[in-house]
Amino acid sequence: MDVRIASIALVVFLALIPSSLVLALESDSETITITMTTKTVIEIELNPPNWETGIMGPEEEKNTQNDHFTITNNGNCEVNTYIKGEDAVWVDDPDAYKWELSSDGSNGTQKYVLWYEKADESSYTLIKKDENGFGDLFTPNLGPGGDNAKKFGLKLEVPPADYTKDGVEYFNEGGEMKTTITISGVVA
Amino acid sequence: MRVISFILVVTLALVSCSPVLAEDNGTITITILTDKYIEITLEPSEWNIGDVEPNTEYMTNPTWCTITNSGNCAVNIHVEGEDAVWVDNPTTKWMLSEDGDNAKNTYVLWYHIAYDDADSYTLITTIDGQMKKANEDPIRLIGNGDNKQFGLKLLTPAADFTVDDVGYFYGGREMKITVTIKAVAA
Repeated sequence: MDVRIASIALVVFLALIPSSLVLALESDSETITITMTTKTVIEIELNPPNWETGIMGPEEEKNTQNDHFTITNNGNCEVNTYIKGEDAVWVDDPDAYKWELSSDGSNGTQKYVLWYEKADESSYTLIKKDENGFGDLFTPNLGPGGDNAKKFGLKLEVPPADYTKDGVEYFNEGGEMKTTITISGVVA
Repeated sequence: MRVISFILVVTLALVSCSPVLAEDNGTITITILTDKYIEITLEPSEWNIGDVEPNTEYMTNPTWCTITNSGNCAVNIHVEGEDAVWVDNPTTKWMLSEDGDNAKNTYVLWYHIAYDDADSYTLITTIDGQMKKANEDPIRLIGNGDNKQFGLKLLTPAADFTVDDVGYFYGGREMKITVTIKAVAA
């Protein structure tokens, strides 16, 4: 009689093979975003800040050299600068007597004219009033520091006489007239 | 043939009885791994400093940011910084200091683990490093929900230029920094 031996081998494998998902999650990263803005400082320096024309007769015209004034951006960012003028007033009584600033380049009775000329240009540009704004663009993209400073000059033409006496022309009010030119810097 | 079959039967019978005779025990050790899931969250994840001036320190509260283990395993926390870039022109950068000193166009960044020794700030560099306390204990988040708080301190670079002994940056530049917090299976 044949003896048959049946051998049954039961092999159990407990194989735990890391899945690709596990491999992909060996680490996790999150980020923090830090933002900051370098502080903006705007400072315009005009030198000299005054122009004393001396005595001027009716319809007389005077000008500085076109490199007489220097505008320097002492801030830390590029700025566009704008220029505007205003009426000239009699210092002794500003409400009593004034010269209107011309808007068309022509003087007239109690109307005077102001221009500027940049050192690197050879023509004058009218300075006008702008009561609610900064005025007209003067130096675009003016960089900070003395190396970027710009030079310019001014020209002024006073009004014709208010009256004549003994063949001599006069203004109604003698003495000192004063006007102010404003140059503003705005971040470019 | 009959003889061989007999011998085999006897052998199998002895083998089945031998554990009893020898009073031996066998063991099977089964090791089961479960999937690890690593995830952390940061709250908050943005620090908007506002206007900054040269050579000046800015810092958050020491408990400003909370790292929370949102996964299911223990993790070690690492941190890595990078250069700050001008948003409008990313080629203009502030380098991240590697030695804790600032300079022109080089800034410094540190972290402080909440409730650690006062003023114990640790430098963050561009090289991945494990976050740790002042006593060198690593920051480890053991399981889901475990969390740790920390704060940041930043020292801005030296001035770009000086006017009348006052230093300035070139103004109006928005600088952006990304700090990476990484969780690695412990």
